[in-house]
Order: sequence, then C-alpha cells, then structure tokens
Amino acid sequence: MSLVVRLLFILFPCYMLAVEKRPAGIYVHALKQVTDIMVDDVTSPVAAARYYAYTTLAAYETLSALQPKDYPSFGYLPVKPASLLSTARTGVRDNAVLLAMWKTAAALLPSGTRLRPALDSIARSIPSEIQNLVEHITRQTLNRAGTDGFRQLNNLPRYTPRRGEAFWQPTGPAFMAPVEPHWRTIRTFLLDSASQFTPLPPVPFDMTVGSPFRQLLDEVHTIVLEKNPEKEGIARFWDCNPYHISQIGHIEFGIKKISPGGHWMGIAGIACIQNHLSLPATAQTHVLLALTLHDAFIACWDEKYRSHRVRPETAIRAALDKSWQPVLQTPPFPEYLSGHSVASSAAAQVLTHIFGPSYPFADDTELEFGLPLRSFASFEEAAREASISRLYGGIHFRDAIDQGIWQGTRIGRLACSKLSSYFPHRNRKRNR
Amino acid sequence: MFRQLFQGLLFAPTLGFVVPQDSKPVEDPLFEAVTSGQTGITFANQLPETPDLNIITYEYFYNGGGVGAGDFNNDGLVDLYFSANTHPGRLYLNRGNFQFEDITDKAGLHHFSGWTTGVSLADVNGDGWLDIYLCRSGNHPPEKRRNLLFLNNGNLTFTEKAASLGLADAGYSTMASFFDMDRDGDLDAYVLNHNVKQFRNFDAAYVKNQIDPDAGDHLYENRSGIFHDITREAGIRSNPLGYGLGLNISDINSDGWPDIYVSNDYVEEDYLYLNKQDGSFREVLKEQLPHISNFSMGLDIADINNDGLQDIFTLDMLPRDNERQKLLYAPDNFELYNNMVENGFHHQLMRNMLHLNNGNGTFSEIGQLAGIADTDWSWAALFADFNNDGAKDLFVTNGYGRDMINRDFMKFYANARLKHLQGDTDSKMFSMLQSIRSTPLQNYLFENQGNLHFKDQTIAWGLGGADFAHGAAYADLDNDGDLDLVFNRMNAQAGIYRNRSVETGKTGNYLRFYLSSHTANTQALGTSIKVFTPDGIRIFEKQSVHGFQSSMVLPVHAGLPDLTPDSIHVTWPDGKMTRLTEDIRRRQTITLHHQDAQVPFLKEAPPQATLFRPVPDTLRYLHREMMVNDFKVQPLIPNMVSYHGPESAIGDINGDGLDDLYLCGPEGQPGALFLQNRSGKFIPSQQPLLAADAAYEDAYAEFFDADGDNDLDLYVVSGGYGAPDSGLPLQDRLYFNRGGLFSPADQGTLPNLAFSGSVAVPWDYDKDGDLDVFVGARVEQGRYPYAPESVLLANDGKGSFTVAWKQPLGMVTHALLLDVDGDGNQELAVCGEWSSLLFFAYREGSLRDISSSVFPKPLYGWWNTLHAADLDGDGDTDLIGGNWGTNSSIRVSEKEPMELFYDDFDRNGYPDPILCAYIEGVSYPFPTRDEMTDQMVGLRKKFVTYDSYARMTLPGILSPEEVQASPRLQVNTLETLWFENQEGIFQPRSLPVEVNFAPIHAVLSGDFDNDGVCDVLLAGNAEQTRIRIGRSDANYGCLLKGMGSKRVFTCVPPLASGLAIQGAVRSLKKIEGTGGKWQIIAGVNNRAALLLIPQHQRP
Repeated sequence: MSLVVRLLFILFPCYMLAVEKRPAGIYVHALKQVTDIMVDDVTSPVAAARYYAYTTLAAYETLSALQPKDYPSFGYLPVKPASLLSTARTGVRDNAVLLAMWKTAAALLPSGTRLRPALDSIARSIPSEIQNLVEHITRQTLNRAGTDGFRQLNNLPRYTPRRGEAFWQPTGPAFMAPVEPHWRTIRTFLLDSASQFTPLPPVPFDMTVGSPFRQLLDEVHTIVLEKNPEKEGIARFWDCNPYHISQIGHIEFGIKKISPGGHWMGIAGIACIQNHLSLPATAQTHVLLALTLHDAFIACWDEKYRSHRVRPETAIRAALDKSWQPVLQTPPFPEYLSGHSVASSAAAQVLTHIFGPSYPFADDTELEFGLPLRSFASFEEAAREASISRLYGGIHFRDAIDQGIWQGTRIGRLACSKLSSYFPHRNRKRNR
Repeated sequence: MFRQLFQGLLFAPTLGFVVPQDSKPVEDPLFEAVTSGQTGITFANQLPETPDLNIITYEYFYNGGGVGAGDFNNDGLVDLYFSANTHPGRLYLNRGNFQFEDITDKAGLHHFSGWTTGVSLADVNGDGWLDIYLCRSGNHPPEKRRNLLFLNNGNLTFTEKAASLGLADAGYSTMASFFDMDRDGDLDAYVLNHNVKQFRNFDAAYVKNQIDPDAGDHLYENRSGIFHDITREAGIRSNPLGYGLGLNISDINSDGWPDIYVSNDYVEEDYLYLNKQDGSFREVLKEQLPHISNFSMGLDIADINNDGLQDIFTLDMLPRDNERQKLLYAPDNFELYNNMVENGFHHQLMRNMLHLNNGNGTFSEIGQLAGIADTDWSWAALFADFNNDGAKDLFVTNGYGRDMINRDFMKFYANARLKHLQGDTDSKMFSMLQSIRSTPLQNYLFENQGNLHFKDQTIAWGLGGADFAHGAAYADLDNDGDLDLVFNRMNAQAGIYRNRSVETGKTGNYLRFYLSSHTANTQALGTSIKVFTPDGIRIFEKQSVHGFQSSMVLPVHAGLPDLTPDSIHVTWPDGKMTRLTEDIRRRQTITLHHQDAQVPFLKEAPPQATLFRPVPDTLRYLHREMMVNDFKVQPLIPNMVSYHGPESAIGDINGDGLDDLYLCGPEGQPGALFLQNRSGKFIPSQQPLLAADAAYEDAYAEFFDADGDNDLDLYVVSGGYGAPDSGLPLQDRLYFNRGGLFSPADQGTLPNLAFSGSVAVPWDYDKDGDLDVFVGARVEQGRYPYAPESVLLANDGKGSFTVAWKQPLGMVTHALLLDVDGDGNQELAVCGEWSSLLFFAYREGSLRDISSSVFPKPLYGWWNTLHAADLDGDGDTDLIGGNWGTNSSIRVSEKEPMELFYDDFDRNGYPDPILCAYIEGVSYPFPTRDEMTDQMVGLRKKFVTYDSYARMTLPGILSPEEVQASPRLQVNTLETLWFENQEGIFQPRSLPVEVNFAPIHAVLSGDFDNDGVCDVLLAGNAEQTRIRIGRSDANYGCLLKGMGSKRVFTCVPPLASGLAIQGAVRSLKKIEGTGGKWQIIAGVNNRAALLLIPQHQRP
C-alpha cells in the first residue's frame, strides 16, 4: 500500500474523531460512548466502576506497551512477549489506545457490541502488528476480569434481609433485591483486601430521644422537611441514580443516569480537556482514577454488607412520620457507608494529586440528564458537596457520610502513594 | 438496537377507532356476530387521548364501559344500555328480531358529562319499572363525579333523582349493586369505589385504618325509599387502598342471606363480606381463601360444579402465551411478597382464581386445573349456560389500551423516548405515550365440560377476533331460549352476538323463570332457585351484577341437562319458599310470584354426621420451621426441598400395647416423643439425648429393633437443604431404646451418612433375622438436582451397620416395602422428584433393579410419597403415588414433558438448572430474562432486551449442542395416581380429580367409614413455592371412598368427610390405642400436629 494511502487510513479516522480536535477530548469522547452504553444497560455503581477500571486499564497498558518509559506498566497483566513490543507514531498510538478501550468494553458490557462499528473503523487505521498488540492486551485484560471473582458471584446465596428495625429492608417503589451483596469478593487492584479500611461501626440503632442515633435520624427527617431549594438542588445534582423508577397506576418505567463513578470519570475528563492534556496523559489520569474507584466501591460494599444498616426512609416511616419520603429515590442497597462519599473522596484525592488542590472547574456532566451546570473551586469542594448531598437527599445518615469520607480519603491516599510512580509530575499547564 | 425497539413498540399516534379483527370463518359456530347494520346498535366507547386526559393523568383511563341488560318498558323484550367514559351512553329499545332503536335522547339520558363507569340496573324505587344507576369517576370535582340515578318514569323517559334518594355517591365509583341486604323487602345498595391517587411507599397498618370517603366503598340502607350511608356500622372497609374493580352479591355460605365479594386492584386484598343477618357484615376473606388474584378486576360467582355451593372466580392479567408472559413477568421478589403478607395484604398471585366452595368455610382454588387461569388483561367474567347442557360456561373479555406493562418499555423505551422529546415533562410523557403499541386481544369463551374442566371454545363458538372489550352481559335478546352475548368495546362498536343454539337445532334444555315480588324489590333480586334432576341439583341465583361494570335484570335462565326436572325449590329473598313438584316440562317458561310463596325458609338438613372429627389439640407439638428460602441458594430450582416435615414414626416404645409417637423436628427444634396412655392421650416423654440433637433437620424417622434386644430403637434420617458451606449437620442418627430412654449409638455404629436423606426403610433384605436399613438420598447441598447415592445398610445383628450397597437413584423422596408378586418376599419401591417409580428385589445374593418388569412404562413425576395397600380388595398389594397434581400452569404429557437441563453452562463450578415446559406446543424455558441472566451473566450480552428473549427456546438461548450435551431430567405426569397390581405388574389408574388439587405428600388407607372396603385419605399442599408457581393449598384432606372390586374411588365432599385441615400436611399415620380404637396423626408443616378420630368410634 502506498504511503499516501497509508496516511489516509491513519488520518481519516483521526479526522472523524477530530470533532473533538483536542487529544484529551478524543479520549474523553471515546470513553463517553462506553458510559452511554453503561447507562442504557442500567449498570449498578459497583459494576460501572469495574467496567471503567478494565476498559481504562486496557487502554493504558496499550499505551504503556508503545511508550514504556513514559508510561510504565502497572504489572496487573502478564508480561508481554518480546515479539509484541512495538512502537508507533502518535496517531496510531492514540488510536490503538482507543481500540483497546473499546474492544474491552465491547466484550464486557452487555450491549458492548454497539461499539463494533466504531471499533472496526478505528482498527482499519492501525497496522496489523499494533492490532495484534491491542488484541493481546485486551485478551489479557479480559482474562484478569474473568478471574476476578465476578463470574462466581451468582454461585453465592442471594440476600435475605435481617429481621429487626436496625436492619436494611427493601425500599420502594420497586422493593428490589439489594445490589451485589458479595461484591467484597471481587479482586482488588490496590487494597490488600476489601476490609483494609474498615470504618467505625455505624452508630447503634436507638430510638431513645437524644441518643446519638436518634439525633442522626432526626437530622435527616428535618432536613428533608425543610424543603430548602438549594439543598434539594444539590441533592438532585449528585443523585447519580442509574435507574430511578417512576410509577403511575399500572405504568412503571425507569429513568437512567450515570453512576457516582461515572460522574467522577466525567469530571476527570473535564480537567484533562481544560488542561489540554495529550491523549496519553488523559489515559493515565483516567486509569488512575478508575482503579481507585474500583477498589473504593469494593471497600464501601464490604461495609454495607457487614453492617446491613437500615435506610432513613424505612426507620423514619416506622417510627416518626408515616408519610415521609426522601428527596431522592433510595437506591437498592444497605445504607452504611455512603457510596458517593467514599467514591467522591477517593476521586478527589487522586485528581487533586494530578491537577492540584485549588483546581476550579465547571461540572457539566449532568446536563444531558436535565440537571444544571455547577462550578466548583476544587475537587475537594465537589467531593464534600457530593457527600453531604446524600443527607440533603434523605437517603443517608451523617455518620455514613463522615465515615465514608474517611474511608474514601484513605483509599485515595493509598492510591496516590502506592501508585505514585504512575502519576504525572504535578502540572496544570500544557502537557506533552 | 433501539431503532428496532422503537419500531416494534410504535403504533398509530392516536388510539384511533379500531375495527375489531375478525377471525377466519368457522363452521357452524354457536355464536355469530350481528352487525350494527342489522341491530342499529352503533354505540362505541370512544376514548380520545388528550394531553389532559389519558392513562397518565387518570390511571383507569383504559378500563372501559359497561352494559346494562333489562326490560325498561315491560314488553318482555330485553333492552340494552351501554355506558361510555367520556360521553353519555346510549339506550337501545329492543324491537324484536335483533333490531334495536336508539331512544337515548327521547329518554332524557343524553345530557350529562363526566367520566362514567359502571351501569347498574334495578327497580330502585319499587314501582315496577327498571331504573338505571350510573357510576362516575375520573379526575373531576365531586359534583361531576356524583353517581346518577335515572328513575324510569314508566314511559321510556327517565328522571335523574340520585341526590333526593341519597344515592349521589361522590366517590370515584366503579360499580354499584342493588340487593336486599337485610331481607326487609326493599333494595339496599353497595357502591364500589376506587382511588385515583398513588400509594407506593406507605405504612400499611396506618393507611389500612384510614377512612377515605372518596376511595372507600359505601353501603347504603334503604329506609322507606331513602338511602342512608351505613358503611361504618355495617363493618364495610373504606380505606384509601381500595381500588375496587369487581363486585358481586351472592349467598356464598348458603344461609339464605346475601353476601358480598369485592375484588380490589393493586395491593389491597379482596374482601369477602358474610352477612351477619343483623344489618352488618363480617369480612372473612383471609380466613377462607388461602390466596387470591393480585390485580383483581371483574369477577363472577356461580355454582360451576353443580354441588349446590356458589363458587367465586376473579380475573387478573396473566397472558396465556409464552411471549406475552415473558414480556410482562417481573422476577420473583420474595421480600416484597412476604412483606405484603405480613402487612395484611394476604397471598396474592397474578392469575385468575377459581375458588371452589367446600361448603364449610373453606375454598379450594383450582383455576389452573380448570384451565381458566390465564386470559390476559381481563375485565368481565360471566358464568352462564350458553349451550344449555346443564353446566355453566364462561365468557371473559379482555384488552388493555396500550402495551406499557411491557418490560422493555419500562427498562429501555420510556427513558430513550423521553430523552429525545422536547418540551415540558407532561407533554413529553404524552408524546411518549402516543407512540406505545396498542394490541387488541381475543376474548375467551370456555365450555364447562364438567369434572372441573373448561375447554377453550372461543374460536369454535364464533368469538374469535381481537378487540378491547370491557363490560359484558348475557341475555336472551330474541327470546328463543338461549343466551346471547353483548359487550362494550373501546373505540369500536359494541359486540352483539346471537346464540345459534336454536338455529342449529342444538337447543339443549333449560327452564326460564319470570319472577316478580309484591315487595319493593319487585324483581325479586336475591331469589335462589334449586332444580332437581335425576342426575343431581343445579342452583341459580337472581342477582343483578355480574362481571365488570355491568348488570342484568332478567328472567332466570336455568340451563339443564337433557333430563326432565323432578322438582324445583324457589327461595325468595325473605326466605319464603315455593316448591314445584309436578308437571315440569323441558324448555318451559315458569312465572312465579313472591306472594304465592308457601313456606318459610328451611335451612337444608345438615348432612349426616361427618366421617371424621378433629380432636382438640391435646398433642402439644408445634412444628416451627426456620423460614429459609432455598431459592436464595439456587435461584432457578423449581421447588424448595425444605419444608418437607414433620414426618412421624409410630411404635410401642414401652411395651404397654399402645402405639407411641415420635414427631420429627426441623432444624433448631428437637424431635418429640409422646407416649400414649390408656385414655388415648399423648404424654410428652422427656428425652434429653434427643433434645441435644436439635440442630439436625429430621427428614424421616422409624422405630425398629436395631440391636435385637426386643425393644424398638429409633432411626432418624437427617436431611434438609442449604448452601454447600451452610454447616447443617447431615449424619443420620440411631438411638437405642434403653428402658424407654433413647440414647445415641456410639460413633462408628453407623457409617458415614452425612448427606441429606429423605427416608429410611428397615428391611431384612438378606433374611438373616435382623433388620437392615435402606436410606434414600435427597439432594446435594446447593447442587440440586444432583443427589448423593442412596444406600442399603447391613445390620450385624447387634445394631452396628455397614454399607452393603449404594447407588445413585436421583432425588429420592420416599420408599417402602411391599410384596409385589405375592411370593412372600418384600420388595423395595422408591419414588423421587424428577423420577419414575423404582423397584428393587433381593435375589440370588444381590439387590436387583426390577423396575422395568414391574413398572413397564416409566412415569416421571414430582413424586412425594408412596403408599401400599390392597385398594381393590383382590388380595394383592397396590400402590398410590402422591405427585404434584394437575392444578398447575405447567401441563405435561408424554409427548410434552417438563424438562430440567442442568449442565454448568457458564462453567463456573455449579449446575445451572433450567426448567423448560411446553406452552402451546413449544418448549420454552421457565425463567424470565432477568432470572436467566442473573444465573448466567454472560447471557446479558445475548439478550439485552426482554423482547429478544421472549420467544427463545433453550437451544436458541444457549446452543443446540449445549442443550443436547446437557444432563437432563423429565416429568411426563403430574397426576397423583394409584397403581393396580395385576400379577406383579403395576398399571396406572386415575383417581378423582379432587386428588389433583394440590401436591400429595401423605397418604393413609383404611376402612374409615366402616363399610368393609378400603378407603384412602390424601393430604399435602405446598406453601413455600416460587412466587410465579404460587402456593398450592387447595387440599384440606381429600377422602376417597373405596369401591372395592369396582376399582373406582369417589371423593367424599368436605361437608361429609368433616375434614378441613389447614396447612401443608407432610405425614399421616394411624395410631392404635386400646380396645381396637385408633386415631390418625397428621404432621403439618410449621403448625400444630393434628389428631383425627373417625366418627364411628364414639369416645
């Protein structure tokens, strides 16, 4: 094939993707397509975090194979055979990264085949030896995913709620079985175990007026009754409920949104674009965040299904106020810890480490779901708001938030230290 | 993918006028449609959807209208009124010969608005002219919702007078019924209301105790022509959760006073109000009906089996075909189900329910057995004898405006569509709504074939075609002696169907009763007529409300068999009777007047003393189950293994000549030993060493002399089910009898038997003088349907056992010994779940499988129990096999068996048991898409949508190769059968249909009625099941009277047997006492044990 033709093959898909002219945007846009499929398939927060981890890992390891000095391999996958080591020009390298992301997503996600056309198109622009490399890395990634415990989950017993007012009961309107009670068995990337950062136990259930628990309960009860528009707006902004069920008579349907993990992956994308990062640097940012979120949800779920704590709406309606409803729809899993608090706090640690502590950004991730834009002065501010939003939403007690922040922060810091050599030099300006 | 989804779910943007699709012409149908061209009936219930008024703004938008059939001008011809929702209805005067004249405007019935629902006809003011009461609902202010009473002025004009009579009920009304509640000669009224608000997250106890004046039902007492609200005093429920859609009045408990059945949509349970005869009612549904339909809509009450007792049939929304079921069903949610039960909403299952009245305050639900449980989204049910053969047939209307219950709509379509639409939420919702598919459905017409079976004759009887049909009525419109059909359609002309019995010469037999009363209840509503024919009795009630939102005030049409009636008993509403005993001819019209009634009401003589009487609980044993859920361990298995106890063992422990009793204990509860004293009472025996073994789940127990010291020792089989690592102890236990105290044998006395077992049969198979033991294996923990090997233990003569033989026999449930060939040696019979009966003989030094020679045609069933006895009195031993029964949505046969494929399809170390059953000729997997993908996650890629899964067979879901290669089990009969021993070969024989009402787990034979012939008692039920299968609880103790050499059993009705055993019976044993007396002990799961004594044994 002539050079001209080869160049055309290389440039054409790049031109297609140059709807997003900036390289960071190309990566972010590609990941957004994965996110869109996850949303359509209705993916739980924990499952979403796992998908993000493996798709961004495959992308990054492809990058690493092509530029090992700048982007060292994590070592989660077996060492590549020497025959597969290769180099590539920028364009090919970038496309190979996206190809690996999409191939992994296509295999893992239920509706992953929707990525076929884009995937096939981009593959055509990549020389076959690089395609082989991508294929190898993808397969290794899928092997690890296939042996991380996920495939054994449905062998484990389904959940039976414990009896007693202190314990989680299914919540309306659908009273669904709780999501992934055995998620603690999923293999971690960073944590030595799901229980490495076990928080304090939840405040013990006690309806006596003035008791610590009663105060927590009253707080949620009252805050929702205030009907404060600003607080309600914050709650809705950080709702991140993948499947909100609406019921009208016999009609029932679900309204879909991104998960908490998806929201923070979106924020990472905003920062990468804002900083005009290269595609490799974007890939690096995303995988660091995704691996952290992956483990954060494992740790959070480990505690949820250790304490089996009741949700505010169940306890409030049983004892205080028969017609009380939360602002948000209570998600279908136990209360303690707050997933958003854990995930957001961990994410803020990682993104701060990359982009800096006072990094302002405008968060537009929720616009497509009918929610407004919100601006933040830092990741920390956003994470704190995300955490407290769960109290405003009436779906969490404050201790689940506070301890969630504690756990998430620990996990984020662990990521920063354990993976320190994988982080870029702190840099807010143009990056190579 | 979504583009295809959109196209699949799109239909016309507006719910336009639908021409009902006709079916292909049928040869000589019973009914034929009569066109509006001939009848002049052009009425159609027009339902234009607008942004302000649609299914989203008003949840009952698609409920349709009603039909009123009655004679408004007393000319002997039945006229018709049709109610519409968004516009006034129409009144058609019958001019004869199926020609009608629209007299709505002349009659003054054209000038009201609002949302009209049900039409109730009655002579409300007792002036001899039929009035029209219209119910109204909708999102309107009270003034526009008040029900309307159009009093007949006697000249085919009507005047609205609801307010002045006190009947302008402002609730959201569905229907009303006029009936003489207090037997004082005037008509009272029950108004059925529903709520228009949503109730999703609420405190059940709190809301159930509230009174909602607009959503709650009302009862009005007629005092001198004015109606007074007596709802509270009368004990009528009126809470906000009442979404009342169905109403019937009938004398359900045969005491001469009218009772009320209300069916409620959504979460609130139905109500059964029994008349207390003092102006109030007692609500008893939860006591008498063990389970009910969930989204109950229309209903009808009639005697469908001609036993003189009124049966109840309620409608729900279960589709008949696999595809629609798979698009509709939500996965089983046990927490939600149990929550509903605990909150007082009772056991509700989504299918039609046929509650057969047992006459003793219990009902047996047999809709599935009868074949009428699944008629899709159904509205009206009407029982009437359409072919005049003496059995009441069934007509069901159905149809729902748009397919929004479709799970793809819920999970994908709604969100996708809403995201793409512009505008505010309400207009977006309306646009989305308009693009949802609308599927007209075929109604159903069933022929009652007797023996509790209904045959779908819809097409053959000319009712094919698809539409959206709601309220319906039957009436003899042309006075030719057969009943015609009329029904109200949404967006289409009303259906008028002429019954062609007369035209086709198949007139059949009937009597037609014109009733009138001198009281204000001029039409004598509430009259009950009993017709005696040589083959039995048939009862007919004159009630005005049947089905859905519709009523009929007609002469009583009594379809009869082709026999001349002997006599007729007419019981008028006040209890007086008229008896006709002479000169009754076939196809006669009989006119009767209330004032000619001769005698006061005589309650029928109670039946002779029953055969059994229960003994008050003198046996202090309450079986307490740990409420486990086997489906949490293996979500796809069809049945739970748990809840199999308590079994019992009988034997004389202390040598005093009286049988003693051991009742098996479930996990966490010790087994209990009782010693019988001379007065037939059972005294608990303190057995600390038995109590120490409470952690075991006793599956079975037997007394036998294990150590050869001439007393009875106790062998207990440990069983149960759980996850592989559950820690449930499974080793069997042998307790030696040491002077009445049982102590466990030392370790090593028994070999390793740590598997879940089900039965132990002491058997001296090798005839060496000591008792060996066969132990049947039940299941491998967490790996159903794999089962451990069953074993034969050889006794060394001193009570020490070793394994002499072992073989995998599948999931054994029971076994026993019997002499198959009459040679004096005993053989072993074994039954199991997913097995055929197996037989083993010990011959020439080894145990041989003789099944194929003794039981040549394998019958694979869900066998629970075997019983051996000489049932036909010919000297050899016959068998009974207790099976699941045929009261099941799954129908099996040799050609269309139920199958279980259980390979580890997803290669993650555990079997994936997939149940497949035939529906309409094709074998489909039982699990829904969500249940399947929950078990095998990889399938989520293959079946993203419910639609992609809905039509799939198992080879399509997995692959033909995988299915072919998979281990497989089958069931080709679910019938409980007896097996006649004919010279050593067992021939299957059927039993009365009542035996198949529920799973049979325990069988006992004996001469219970002291007539010298062997009778049989069968009991069982299954209370813990998959929700979609539903609890099977229609058996209250089925007694079969033996006929000896005639080899036919007849079922003894409950009123005669005296049996009303509640719960899941797991064992029946006969216990001998002093002086030849005996009792029956019934072990009932999670309840107190029961003792039964035959009546002929006076205490």
